[in-house]
Amino acid sequence: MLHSIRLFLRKDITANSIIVLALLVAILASATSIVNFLVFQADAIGNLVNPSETIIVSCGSSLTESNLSPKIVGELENLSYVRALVPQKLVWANITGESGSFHAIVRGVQDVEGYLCSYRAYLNGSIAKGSFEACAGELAAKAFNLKVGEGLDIMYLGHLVRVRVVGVFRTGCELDSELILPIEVVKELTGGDETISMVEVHLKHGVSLRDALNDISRRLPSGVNVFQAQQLKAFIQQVNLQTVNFLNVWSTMIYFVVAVASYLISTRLVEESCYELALLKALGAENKIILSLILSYTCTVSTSASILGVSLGLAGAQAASTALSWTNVLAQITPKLDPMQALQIICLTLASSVFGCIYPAYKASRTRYEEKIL
Amino acid sequence: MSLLPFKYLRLRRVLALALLVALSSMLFSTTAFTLVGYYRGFNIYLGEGEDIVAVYDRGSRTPFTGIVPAYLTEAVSRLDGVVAVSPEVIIPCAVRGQPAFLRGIVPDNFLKLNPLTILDGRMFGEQDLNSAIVGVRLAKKLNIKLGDKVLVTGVLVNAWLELKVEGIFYSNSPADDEIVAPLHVGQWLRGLDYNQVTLIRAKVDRRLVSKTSIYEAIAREALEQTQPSGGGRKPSQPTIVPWTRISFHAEDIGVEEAQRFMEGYMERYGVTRESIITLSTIIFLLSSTTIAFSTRTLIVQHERELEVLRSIGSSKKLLKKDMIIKLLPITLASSIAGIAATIVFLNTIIGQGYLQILSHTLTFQPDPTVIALTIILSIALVTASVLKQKL
Repeated sequence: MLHSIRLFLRKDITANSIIVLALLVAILASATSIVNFLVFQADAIGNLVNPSETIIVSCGSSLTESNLSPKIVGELENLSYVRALVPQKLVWANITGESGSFHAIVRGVQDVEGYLCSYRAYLNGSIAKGSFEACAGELAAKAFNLKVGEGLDIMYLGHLVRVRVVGVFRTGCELDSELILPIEVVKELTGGDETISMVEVHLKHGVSLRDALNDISRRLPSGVNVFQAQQLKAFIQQVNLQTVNFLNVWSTMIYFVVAVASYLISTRLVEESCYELALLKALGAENKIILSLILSYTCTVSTSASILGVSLGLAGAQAASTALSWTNVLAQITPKLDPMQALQIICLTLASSVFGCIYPAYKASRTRYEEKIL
Repeated sequence: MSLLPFKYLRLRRVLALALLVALSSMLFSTTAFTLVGYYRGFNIYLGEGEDIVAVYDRGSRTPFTGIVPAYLTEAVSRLDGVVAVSPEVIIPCAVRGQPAFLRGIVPDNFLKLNPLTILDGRMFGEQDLNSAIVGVRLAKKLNIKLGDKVLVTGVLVNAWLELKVEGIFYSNSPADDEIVAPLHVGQWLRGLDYNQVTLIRAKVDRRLVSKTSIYEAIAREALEQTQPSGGGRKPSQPTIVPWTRISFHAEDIGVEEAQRFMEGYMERYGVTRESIITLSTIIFLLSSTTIAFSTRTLIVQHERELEVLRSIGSSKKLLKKDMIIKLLPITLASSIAGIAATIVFLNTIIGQGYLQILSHTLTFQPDPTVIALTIILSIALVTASVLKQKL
């Protein structure tokens, strides 16, 4: 009985219906192909910059409130791909100098000299080595009038440590706003708290950053944050996600139009095929056969339309981008559509069409054609 | 003969057409509103109006990646007619792991160009080296509160730092999705020297100074730096580390109205307001084939009624005229309903923070051109569809 679908397919309405749905799908396919290009471009820009080989291990939402067990250093130091580990302790402390009090970050590291060297610091004075010595960043020194040789009282949660500024350095990074001390002094400042705030993990050259991140995350307890210091890829991925979200919201509207168009197609099919439907009923077709026929017709039309639409959309986007490149050399757009995305568009169009045609098909299957004027 | 008293069109059948007109109008207005909103938001990113001028790096392919000598701030501010000058570093970064943009600024200079309303807390001061104020939308999105310490990581360079939130602000501008910090924080995250910024913005009195005269002053600075006598003037110090003269070529620096400067970046890639509306119209026309199809379906559904009317003497012309008269109010209402639905829909999803481009919330204003075009196109399509039908 399903061969009777040919009765419907031969009608004029079929070509019109395919064109109507194909044009809707073409809008979707072209928009998706252009968004794909934008996403691809963003990813390509991300790949141009070599990712840094530094991983940060901390916990909590900020570095100064992070408390990591020092055992973590032991967990990491024997990893074959690790070049260097720099455990650090950071606190926001109240500092009193000759020119008054201020609030600044105090950073404790094991080897102040090595640490500043790794940041290619310019130093005026000497390196803090002893328990009562500190190096001040240039911005901190200028903002709070700190001088080499000046004594400072550092206060943190009721604990006081007295140090002397032995050097002022410039690194051109966040260290310039801080005081750097040997880590033991900072531990003393926090009342003998042995925990650390973070560990800078420097990888050996050529090591896969992603593999290292995964491996370190796996080894450390849950609740410990392991992240890349330079988050270019993550940034681009999330910005791309925002663009794709926009496309998804917009696509939903097109699928609504497809569903309504499908409703109209099946309504008109039923109106124009009264004679054929009455004949089929007279020949003994049951309601479900009529329902299946109309559903099959819609599926055939929407599948053909979506395949045609995807092709039209891609061709249209390519033609438009070629035309654009003639007028604007910077606008070199290469639309692209993955097979999976094409399949997704076809499937969603099919689903929307079926959804749209259910009511007219059901109504047609229940109609008593012997009572209808043909 | 008038057919107006004959109510032969069944409302239920007309509803499908009305729904399609509403959906097509929605599709068109959503596309146009969002894209025009994005375009407008991007254009006014650095300031609206002709009195805001940007000094920028001509070689940069984005507004965020240029490098301009910071000391030119002084050269520009010395000109008569320059009301305020703000050196800035605008930089993508990750705040609490989420993408965001950070503006490194000099507070006093910036506030003269962009007045901010501090909703909670205060503006950071000169001694707040590791502090920031957060835009109200970003604060809501990332659940940032006053006094929080946020971890900011670099995108373009290897950098991570902690900033203390001193305030939450509202500006009714794209800055509401950003974090604003001292200039040096932006320089750290961009990997710039303390003598470099991304761009310099100036508020000018156009009666006294033009962009040409600003450029001439910059060109003079480029020449002076090669002459030993150039170091005579002592610059004032809006930043902790005083700016020093650095070598640059005048031809690498551009001066343009801020809005025009941003438009220029979009135009380089073929994006203009006109191209966006044309694109939206093409989308509408493609989707509107369904309207033509729907009109035909409506006529097929009313074939018998139309035949009766023809048999009692109605001409085809009269029938078409009558149908147009009867369908026009419905088309108009559907189109307006589609636009209204778009406004409600966009406001809802934007309010929920779903629609963001480049980490900035899409702000849209119902564009009168788009509204008028939607209604005109809908009416024209339905009229044309009825006229071309064979009765």
